[in-house]
Formats: sequence, C-alpha cells, structure tokens
Amino acid sequence: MTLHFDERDRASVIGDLSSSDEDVRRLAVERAAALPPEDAVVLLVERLGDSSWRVRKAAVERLVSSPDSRQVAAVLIEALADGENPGRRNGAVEALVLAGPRVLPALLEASGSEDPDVRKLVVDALAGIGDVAAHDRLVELLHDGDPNVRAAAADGLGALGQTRAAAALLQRARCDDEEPLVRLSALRALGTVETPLSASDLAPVFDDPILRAAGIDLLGREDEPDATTVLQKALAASSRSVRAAAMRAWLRLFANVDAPRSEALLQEVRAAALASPELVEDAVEHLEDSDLPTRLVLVQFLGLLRAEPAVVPLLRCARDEAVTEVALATLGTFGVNAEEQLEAAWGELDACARRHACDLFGRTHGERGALLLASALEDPDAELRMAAARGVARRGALGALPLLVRRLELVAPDDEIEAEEERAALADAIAELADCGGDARSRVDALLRERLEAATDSVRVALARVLAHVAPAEDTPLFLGLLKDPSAGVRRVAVEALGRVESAVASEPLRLALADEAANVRIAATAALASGAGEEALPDLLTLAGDPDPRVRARSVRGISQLPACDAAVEAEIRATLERALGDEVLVALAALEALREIGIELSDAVIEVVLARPEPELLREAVRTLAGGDAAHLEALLPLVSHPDWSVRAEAIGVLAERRFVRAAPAILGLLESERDDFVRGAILQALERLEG
Amino acid sequence: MGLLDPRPELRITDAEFRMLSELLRRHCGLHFGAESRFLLERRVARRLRELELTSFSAYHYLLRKESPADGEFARLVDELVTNETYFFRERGQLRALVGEILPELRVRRPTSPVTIWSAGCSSGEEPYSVVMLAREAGFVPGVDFRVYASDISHRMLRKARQALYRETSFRDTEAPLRERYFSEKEGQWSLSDSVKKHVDFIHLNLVNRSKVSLLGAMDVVLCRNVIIYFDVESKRQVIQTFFDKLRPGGHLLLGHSESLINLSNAFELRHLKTDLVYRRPLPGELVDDPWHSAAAAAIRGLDDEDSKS
Repeated sequence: MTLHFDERDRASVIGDLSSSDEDVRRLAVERAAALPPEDAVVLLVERLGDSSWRVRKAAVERLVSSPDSRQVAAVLIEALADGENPGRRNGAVEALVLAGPRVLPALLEASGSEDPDVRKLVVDALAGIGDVAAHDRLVELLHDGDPNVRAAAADGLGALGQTRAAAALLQRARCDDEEPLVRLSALRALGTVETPLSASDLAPVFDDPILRAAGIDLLGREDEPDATTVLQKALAASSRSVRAAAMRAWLRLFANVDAPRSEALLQEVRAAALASPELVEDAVEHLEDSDLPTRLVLVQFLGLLRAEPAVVPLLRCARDEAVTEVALATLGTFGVNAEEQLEAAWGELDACARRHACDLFGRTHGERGALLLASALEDPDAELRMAAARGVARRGALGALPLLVRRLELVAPDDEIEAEEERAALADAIAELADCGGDARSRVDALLRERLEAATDSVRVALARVLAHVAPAEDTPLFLGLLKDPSAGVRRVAVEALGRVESAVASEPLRLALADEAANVRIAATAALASGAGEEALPDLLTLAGDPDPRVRARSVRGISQLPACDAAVEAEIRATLERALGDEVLVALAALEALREIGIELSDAVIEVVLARPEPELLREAVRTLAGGDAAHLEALLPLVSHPDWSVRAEAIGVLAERRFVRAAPAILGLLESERDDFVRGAILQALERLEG
Repeated sequence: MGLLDPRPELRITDAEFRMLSELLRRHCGLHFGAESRFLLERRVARRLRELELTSFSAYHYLLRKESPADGEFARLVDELVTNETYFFRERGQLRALVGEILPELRVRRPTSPVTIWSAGCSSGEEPYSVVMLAREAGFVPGVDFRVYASDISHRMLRKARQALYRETSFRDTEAPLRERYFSEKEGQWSLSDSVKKHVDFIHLNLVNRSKVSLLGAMDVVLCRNVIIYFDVESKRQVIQTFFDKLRPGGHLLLGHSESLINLSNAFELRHLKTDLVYRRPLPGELVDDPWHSAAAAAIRGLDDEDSKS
C-alpha cells in the first residue's frame, strides 16, 4: 500500500522537525512517512540526537519501521561516529538493535572501522541483536587492539550464549597480561555460556581480588574434588561477594548431584560452616538488606546448613513477596526443628510473620506446629485465623475439622468484607480437608449436615457450598432440601449443584427456580438450565429474556447462545431474540453481542446501524469487537468510529480496522495523528499504520 | 478463585484498566498506576463475580450509570483502599498538636473551641487518639476543642462508630492509656463512651467538594497517609479544599512521608518542637520561601527523569 502526500504535507513535516515545541517535533517524526524515504531516514537520524527523549524514542521507532534497511543501517552506523552527541549515538545503537538481523551485514563490515569508539558501539549493537552469525567476528574482536572493544566483544559473546565461545573466553580470562576489565567481562560471559569449568581451568583468577568472585561463581556446574576444596575455602573468605559467589556455586553443585552425593556434600558444607561461625551470622544479618538475587541465595544456603538460628530471620524475610515461597519452602526442609524455634519465638513475632508461620506449619507436620495452628485459629486477628485454616487444610489435619466448623460458626454474621473473606477461607479449608482421601469426604459430609439446620444464614451458605462440593452428585434429596432454604444464597448453591445432576428429577425444581424471588437464584437457574440442555430449554430461556432484572435477562441471552445447533426455525427465533436484546439495557445488549460473536451470527446492515448509533461507549466497543470477526463488508461501518468522541471507542475501531488490514482506513487514521492528543489512541494509531503500511 | 469457586479469572484489557482507573480518579481521586493493575483487576473481578457480570465493560457501565444510593462505588472503594492504622500513630506529631498548636489556638480564641478535622479517619483511631491525648493534657472536650472525622468508606465509618478494636490497633499505645480508656470485650477492646461521644463522624469524599461545605471553619486538619493514594491533580484539589476550610493561622498536618512540594505554595512550613507542620498564613503574612519553589522545581526534574526511565 502507498500513502499519498502532497508537497504541503512534506513542507509541514520538515518545518515541524525543527520546531522548538517537543510535541510538534514528535508528531513530525511520526508523520515522516510523508517524506521521500531517503530524505526521511536522514532527518530521522538527526532527530536521534534530539534533546527530548520522547522525540528520540519516536525517531528510533520510525527508523526501525523503514523498509530500506541498507540505507537505514548506513546512516545509523555513520551516526555512531558522532562523538559530539552521545544521545544521538546511543539512539543509533538502540535503532540498530531494534532493526535486528537485517542490519547484520552492515554491522559486521563496520566492525572493522578504524575508529575504536565505532567498533565498540558496533559490537554493542551486535550483542543487542544477539544473532549467532556474529559469533566468529566477536571471537576475532576478543583480540582487538582496544581494551574497550575486547571487553564489549566478551560481553557480546556472553549475550550470544554459544558454548563454542568458551575456549576463547577462558583464554582471555586466564591471560595475566590482559586488562582486568576484559578478564572480568570474559568471566561474566563464561557464566552465560553454560560450559562446565574446573577449578584448575580457573586457577589463575582465584588469586586476583578483582576476579576471584566472578571465577568462584563459575564453579559448581560439575562435581570435582578440587572445586569443592576451593568452594569450602571461599566460604571463609573475608570478601562478602566471594562468599556469596561460593554459596551460589554450592547451590548449583547440589542441583547437579544425586542424593547420596548430595548427602556427602552436605557434611562438607556444614563442616565448613561450623569452622566459620561468622558465615551464618553474616548471612542472617544481611538477609534483609541484600539485593533480591543475593537474598534468595542466602535463604537457600542457610536452608542447606539447617542453621537453627536462621529460622526466625528466614521467616521474617518471607515478608517480601518475591522471597516468600522460597523462604517457606526452605523452612519446610527444617521440619519440626523450625516448629520448635518458632514456638519459642512466637511472642516476638509480628502478625505477618505469624501468618507465614501458619503457612509453614502446613508443610512441617510436627506436633508443636499443630498446637500453634489450633491456637492461631482462635486468635483475635482474622487474617491469622484464615492463615491457620489454610495451614490446617494443607496439613490434611482431619482432626481439626470440628475446630474449623466451629470457627466458621463464630464468624461475625454480617456481610462485611472481612467476614465474607473469612467464611470463604474456612469453607475452602474444609473442602480441601474433604479432598485429602480416606473417609474424609463422608466425615465432612456428616458433620456439615448435622450443623446445617442450626446455622445462621451466612454460615448455611458456606456449609452448603462445601456440601455441594463433597456430597455425591446423585444426592438430589440434599440439594432439593437446600432449594427450600429461606436464604437466597443457599438456594443459589442448591441450584448450581442441581445443574450438575444428570437426572430428570432436577429439571422441574430448576424450572421453578427460574421464578425465584431472588435475582441471583434466577441467574444461577438460567445458567444451569442452559448448560447441557437441548433446544427444549429455549422457551424457558426466552421467558427469562423478559425478566425485570437486566442481569437475569443478560444471563438468559448468554444461555441461549450456549444451546446446541438446532433447526432453522429455532435458529431464526434465537437470532430475532438476540437482535431484539441489542436494543435493551446495556448489560443485556453487551451479553447479546457476546452471544452473537460466540454463535457466529452475522449482523444485518440495519441492526449494525442501530447498534452503532447507541451512545454507550462500552457497547460500541463490544460491537466493534463483534464486527471484527464478521464479514469484511461491514468494516466500512466502523470508519466513522475512528473519530468517535470516546477514546476507547476510537482505539478499538482503529485496532480492528488495522487487524483486518482495511487499507481504505489508512488516510483517515493517518489524518488523526495531527489532532489526536490521547497517548493511548496515538499508540493504537501508530501500530495501525505500521500494520497497514506493511 | 478458591476451591469452591472454580470460575476462571477474568483478565482486564489495557483499555478497561484505563477506563476503570480514570473513573475511580474522577470519583474519589484514587490513583492506580501500572504497578497497581493486578490489584485493581483482582478486586474488581471479585465484585464482578458477586454481581454475576461477565465483563469489566459491563461493570464500568454499572459504575458510570449508578446513582449514589446504589452504593457500588462505595463498595468498590472499600475493596480497594487499605485502611490499616493504629492509635497514636506518628505520636510526635500528635504531641505537637496537643502540646503546642492547641494551647496556642486556645489563647488566640479563648471563647470558642478549637475545631479539628481528621480527614480520612479510617476506623477512627486517629480522631480518638486526639481526644485521648488532649484530655490527658487537661483540655476539656466540647469546651476547649471539638473533633470531626470523615472517611469515604462506609465500612470504615461503621467501624469507627462502633469503636471496637483488635490488638493490632494498639501497637504504639502505652498500657496506662489503654487501661484508662478501653475495656476488653470478647477478645476486642471497646473504647469508653467518654471518648467516643466527642468525635462527630461524617461520610465525605474529599474530591467532591459539595459536602465539604457541611463542615464549618477548621483550626486544624489532620490528613495523614491519605493523599498518597491520590493522583497529583486530586492532591492539589484536596489541599486547596483544606486551605479553604482552615481559618487563617490554622494548621495542616500531613503524614511524615508527605509534603506540599509541587502541590501548593499557599501554606507556610512551621517548625514546632517535635514536628514540622503546615500553616495557613495569617492575613498580611507572605508566603515567600525560596527553598519551597526550588525544591518543587527539583522534584519536577526528578519526575521527568523517572518518566524517561
């Protein structure tokens, strides 16, 4: 496709590119398609040095989307030599990286530039692209006359991650005459190429204080005696970074050996830790203030040592969500020892640590943990009680079932969020216990039926939810009984359960539930009726399509769309119902659009006109999505929406027209760029133009 | 989604996230950046399930069209806002209020009580703390001072009026104070009527200025750790509301991590013995603090850098 521009457009773009207003320059960059390609590229490269990062970013994006990669590569590489404007140079590297493998030949050629700065930036671009075709050249550049180029080449080989680079990188890393910067880059690159390296391979770097940590960090990929000796010594090193590298290497080593060897290594590492007590102390001290990767290493390493003084600090550091699961899994390996330590420290733990302890006791299975969980179930703090319930369930502690049910009965009988959350958590915990095998289901079933009658409304709903989960599906008398409950919540649960029963006994109660006074029960009944039913359910669903509550009408419309394929007369009736629903309240019309899309019914021109004339943006957006999957002839109707007053409708329409490659929309969309002020829509426009131009 | 609710999680689209966050910002100033997207998605999805709706668009429509009496906005705000607080939080500031500001204002206007507004009072710990500390310092509630408290959350106001607290509310409360003003009741602590009756609660959305007029002129506004949830525009609007409500010479107490830099130049910064507070200048006093505008410019520069990275 070619977009047509006149001379006035071109002059306006060129003028705007040097405007003092950042937004005007950015818009001009985005309209650079108006210029002849060879002029556009040169002007865009100039903008890479713009004082505004937004303009630079837009220029990079436009350059990358240019089809003439040879010219783009040539001007970008030329820009790398601009020592006066680092912003422009960085922008050029960014654009080259984004341009990808198509600029590779030009970059390889430029890697022989006489200017070492250019060579270094070319290597950075090659590394950013990450194409293995650059591998051999990068190996050659490990011997470049300039140390910055050699270091960049090592980094680049690390980015490529090819094991065949290992020998060359190791040679650079071991070379005593090489600059430390280059050796360090080579060691780091070796970390990403995943080649097993022995302690003797790396021996020359272990004595160098700058390189030692990076060298230690490469051990542990294979189990060899020299390496374990080096790693034991490194645990006692005075440098924290060396110790951290050694811990990482130990963890790597444990992941690579079988169970018997792992046991033997554990003895070694624990002996090393005993010999240096400050190792544990220091690791514990820095559990909170280290960076995340180091913290994760410290947590797991302390787990290897089973260091009891670390139990409480490990639990405290679980407060950070990024560490929680690793810390708790690690503490889980301490077993009952962790329970002992936490029992002793319980009074000093804050609420968050206690919640995590309850999670832990779900994994440790000791008696102390059980007692602490039982006590936490009675705590005044609702969040702790919920954590305790989850811990009990995770343990599969069926003996705690009466405690959980009693707790459920004690939750405040109101609809406060906290009370609802606690009831849900307790019901989930009871259901999980019921799933733990043996006679668990029947025990839960029996106890819950016993408690049902005397329970308050909100508790009955929770008990009914669990019963619907544990009771046999064919136990229709139970569900029919629940269907007569005074609480709408319980009746709703019963309807959902009956919906899963494949028996004629369920059909009449379900039909009667369609006339329940509570909308939620009618909604559940509509859903139950529609799922798995045949066309015989249609009359009932059509009745519900006239329900006074729009949510029920919406559900019936969705239900109609779930019915299996049927004869032409019924299909016509379905179509007519759905089209009528498009004129209903928004909730119903939205459901009708979803249904039409699901069934794949094409909308008639007349219906499209009616829907697109509605004022509600939510509905228009859904209509646009529906038309996106339909006949291409209807896309024309979306054109006026690209300038709709609501941003979300504009963005949706533009996105769909581009997705369907409706090229006639391109001039209208391009024209919007000048006036569109909404960044979200601008993003949609630029993406659309890229698609339409491509 | 729990074991007993196997319905699949709904995913919010970019456009839906923006629509809902803009609606919330307009309604009550709450700001949801990209980092809060998951939280918004999860909490709104819960409301969708409870209302039997199948899309975020349908929920957006429901909110957009609802009348205030429908209460869905209030319910959603309850779901979204963190209300954790405790008695005597940022004690140094409360000490400055009772030990310096209150005596000074009493001297300046001895005939009528000092009016104090706890804006965004959550479950009531802050306004009740003020009453307790002022009483302890010898001031008589109703005579020397009056405390008003507002919050946007119906749920929090119910809790505040109930005045029943759990252990977590007392993490910085001295034992004698707790013994004097609270009694234990089924594992919770009930506040004495002698404190409760001296706080008047009202429901107020700080971004909606119409109901703010129901409050009279104030001598002190406490709005601590509330505006951190607002976008810049709403912060400015709320600070302007406080300025308008405060009598000249009245004080604004923000949370320790909050300041007026880049929000308002209308207040002066006042150094008290135990804290820094803002004050609406008396007539004729000029607010001309070069550090204030320099700091504002620096912050703007930092913001620009942030948006680049």
